[in-house]
Amino acid sequence: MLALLKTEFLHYRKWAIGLLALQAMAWAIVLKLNEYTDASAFDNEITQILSLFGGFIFGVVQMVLITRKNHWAFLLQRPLNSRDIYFAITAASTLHIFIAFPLVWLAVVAGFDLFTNTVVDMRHYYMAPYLMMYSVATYLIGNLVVLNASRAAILTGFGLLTLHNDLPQFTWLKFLILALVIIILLYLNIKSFKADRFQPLKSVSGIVLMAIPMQVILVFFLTMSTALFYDIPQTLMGTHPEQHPTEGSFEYWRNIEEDKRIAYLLKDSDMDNKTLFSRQTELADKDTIATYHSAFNRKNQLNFRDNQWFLSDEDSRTVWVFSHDEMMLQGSDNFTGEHVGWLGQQGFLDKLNLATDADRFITVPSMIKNQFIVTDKLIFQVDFANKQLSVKLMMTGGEYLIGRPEFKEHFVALVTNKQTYLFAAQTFLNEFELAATSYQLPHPVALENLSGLESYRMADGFLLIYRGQDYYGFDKAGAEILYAHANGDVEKIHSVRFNKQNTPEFIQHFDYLISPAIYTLRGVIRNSFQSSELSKQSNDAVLTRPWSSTILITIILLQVSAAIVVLILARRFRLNHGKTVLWVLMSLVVGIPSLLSFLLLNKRA
Amino acid sequence: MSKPSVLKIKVVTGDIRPIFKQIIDGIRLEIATEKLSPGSKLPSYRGLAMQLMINPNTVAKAYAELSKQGLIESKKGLGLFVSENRQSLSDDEREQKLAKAVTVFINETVHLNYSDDEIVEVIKNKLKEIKTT
Amino acid sequence: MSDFCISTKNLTKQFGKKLALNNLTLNIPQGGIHAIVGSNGAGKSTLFRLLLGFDTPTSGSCTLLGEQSDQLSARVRGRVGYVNEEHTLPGWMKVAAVKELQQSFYPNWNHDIYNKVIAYFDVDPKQKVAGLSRGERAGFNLSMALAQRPSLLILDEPTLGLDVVARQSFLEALMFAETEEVMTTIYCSHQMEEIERIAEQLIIMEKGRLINNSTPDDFCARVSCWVADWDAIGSILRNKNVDIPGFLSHREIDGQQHILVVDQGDDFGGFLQKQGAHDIAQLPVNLERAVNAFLTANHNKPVAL
Repeated sequence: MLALLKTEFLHYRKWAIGLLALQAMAWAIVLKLNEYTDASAFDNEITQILSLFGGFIFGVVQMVLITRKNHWAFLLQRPLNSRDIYFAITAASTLHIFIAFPLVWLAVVAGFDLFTNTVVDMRHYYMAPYLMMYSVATYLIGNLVVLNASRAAILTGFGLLTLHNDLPQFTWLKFLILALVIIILLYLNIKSFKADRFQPLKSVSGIVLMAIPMQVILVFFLTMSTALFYDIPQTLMGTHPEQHPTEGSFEYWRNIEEDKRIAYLLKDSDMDNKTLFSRQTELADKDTIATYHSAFNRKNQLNFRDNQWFLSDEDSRTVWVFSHDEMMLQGSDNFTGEHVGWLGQQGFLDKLNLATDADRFITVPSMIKNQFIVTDKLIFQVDFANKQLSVKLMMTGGEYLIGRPEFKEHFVALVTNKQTYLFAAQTFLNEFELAATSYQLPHPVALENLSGLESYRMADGFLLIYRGQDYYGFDKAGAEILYAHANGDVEKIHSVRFNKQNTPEFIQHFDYLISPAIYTLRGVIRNSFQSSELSKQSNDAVLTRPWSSTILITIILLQVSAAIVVLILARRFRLNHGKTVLWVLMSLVVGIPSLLSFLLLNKRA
Repeated sequence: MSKPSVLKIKVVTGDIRPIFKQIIDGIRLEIATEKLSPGSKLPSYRGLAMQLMINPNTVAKAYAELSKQGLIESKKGLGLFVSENRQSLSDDEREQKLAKAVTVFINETVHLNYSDDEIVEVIKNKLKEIKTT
Repeated sequence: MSDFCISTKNLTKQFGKKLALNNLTLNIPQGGIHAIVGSNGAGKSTLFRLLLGFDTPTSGSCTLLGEQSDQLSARVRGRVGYVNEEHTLPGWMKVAAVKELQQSFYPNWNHDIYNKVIAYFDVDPKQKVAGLSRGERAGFNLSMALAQRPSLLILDEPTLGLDVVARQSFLEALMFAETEEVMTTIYCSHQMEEIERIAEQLIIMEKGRLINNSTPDDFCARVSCWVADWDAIGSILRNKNVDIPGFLSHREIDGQQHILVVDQGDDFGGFLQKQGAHDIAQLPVNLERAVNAFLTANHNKPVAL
């Protein structure tokens, strides 16, 4: 087996080394042109794309060459188990991939670590094994596409990979899932690497592992297909609901001219001066405030996810980079790269050994406006001139920020899980002290029901329009107008329910209709792996949606007919009893995507 | 151990006679013309096969046939030799073989417009030639 | 288990609408050189692929050295040598390294055999395989296949595209490199000359079916050529109103009809006479002509022996 590994390694050795040399040259040029101040800058898309496509293309090309009739015979016709042969080949390829992709990257980061004062955290090194595993996974997908009896194996491969892409930035979890993906792909490849490659996999685990990830991707394609049979024809005929939204629907309201929207909302209100009122809003400064979660940086996240990771001070020509290993910002001279000190939660420090636990940040902050250090509970403001750090905002209780502060022309908006804060922009930016809230606006409905918030700056306060397609519950669109007076009172002006649906239900919820099982599975997986504050909807919300009876009946009809068609086809394809039962059950649970995967994975006898 | 004699026979592919038949005919002719004297050693299967570029088993088959006809005999551990006393066909068999050969010969020559004497003369000359060379 | 090293039963393989193998039942006993001939597309390569488990039959079954082809063990694979017409070898490696590689898999590897066989060919061990000529590659491939001391050696048109010298070396090496064990050789070739020289058994396939499995001599004896003055044959063949027993092919030369038939005794002359032919004579045929007659015969396909 070792001899075979050596042989296969020699085959592509020159290519791997060539790619290594090419990248080394590219890095040399890039580093000559740019003065990188931090290893985080090596969030290099080219390296990632190279790893992704490089691995896949290598996997395909190598297997195509191996599976040519006579080469296949030469390789397999020897006293070895096919599994051992495949292991030898994969082991050799892993070496190639290591040389071709992460090695240069590793060398560059190590160079920075050893020869500069640049912040290099352990997590910067994690990028190398990550790229490595990523490449290996795409390489295995390339192998599977060629080895498996069905070319549709490409769907399985990328279906598995999306599982990992769905995931958040927690390093250990990402590695764990990626490792799981690699193990599944290896298993499928070993099963597919048999003398007669043209026979579909026979084992239950082989079938299920091929079929389920494929079905996940098929759901995506099927959902896209509404464009073909609905959106495009409707648009061509000029009858698409988006062109002519139904009067009384949420979309209708969103489509009318901006300055008429308030008037539309108020048309049924019994407000006395509503005409005047809406005229006023037409002249007011309008802003949109985001009400969705945006991810904060995480400790030890892979560095390509980094967001606003440094502050720079023009006057002292220093740059302050956050170190995950120390959980503090490290300052260094912009030009010499020399250390100039540390910045912790309690202020500036000259030396690292002076730092106490209280100095270290608990979560990884984002740097904003070159002076704010923001976590989900705290906002600090840095005064470089006086070397001071002041607390700008502190959340207490179960309250936390769902995103970074939004700086508007006249005010600064902060959205938490419970309410929206508005601050006067001048004082927030210029006074180095705890910010005084101008307005404090509790969310009128649960955050997950909100899809947006608009503010109108009026003479004596703010007018706020809260809206959401699920404002009053699933599929119950609504909007609400609140008035925040300068004295702090919040007055409810009017609320509207949109009772008409613009898009037919079966188009709107096609992704659910096509396979509730996959829909729920994906939702639950995403929710389980995302930290709770990041997921848009709770598992409960996903699982207890009140679907209409039309949708439910259609689903039952679709799934039962999928199962019946599979049963008939299984007979015709002469599948054995066990496999027939497996496929029928799977189709009964998963529906149409299962039927499609059956067609893609089985051949007529 | 004595070296085997060189057999100056050759085989051709594409002939109507199978190769083993060609070998038999060849060796018979060699013996008949006394280029192979009684008691001389024949090449080994492998040796002759290599010389003729054919499968050794074909040579074995030819040798077996020749042994059966009594033209050659094997001496244990020494190899194959041309028989000392090689007339083994019965008179009947000899007559039959001659008759068959003559029939083929006459079929081939009768339409050639030679007189009987002329034909007999050619045969006589040919036989003389074979015996003297 | 059977004593046959290759055994197929009602083996059928269909590619789309084309029947590559049609109900083929073939048993090849151990030992000797068995030649398989057939025109292109007769199903020879498909047969080997099925036997080695690289493809699955549409119906029927086959065994290789007593094991079902679709589940060959590593042990049986190790006892079978397979040499294809491309002489596929890892081109990026040196000859010596490829030899080491193959040697590492075969505990029975025999150095003497390897050295003897490779000596027929001018192969430098330090050379890259990709730099070898076709003939050298064939020789190298054969050397390794024989050194593995296989029980069964399958050669699929090994001399295709080789020049006269290389072909000669290849055949010599195959026949005379002494391999002590009983080895069965399956030799697939288009070269009738080679087959005449080396084959002990002649297997003829046509359109996925077996049409002969006997010694070449027996096969040759089955076919006879009749020459006659027989004007009626043209209309007989056109109208198919008379069944000519064992008919293979027919050619008109100088107004005389040369008819090749299979499995007909002297009484075929009587048949011809009855059909109005005269000046009837019977001529023997050589192997190549007999095989060609079989392969080109489109009517009255003779059944296998």
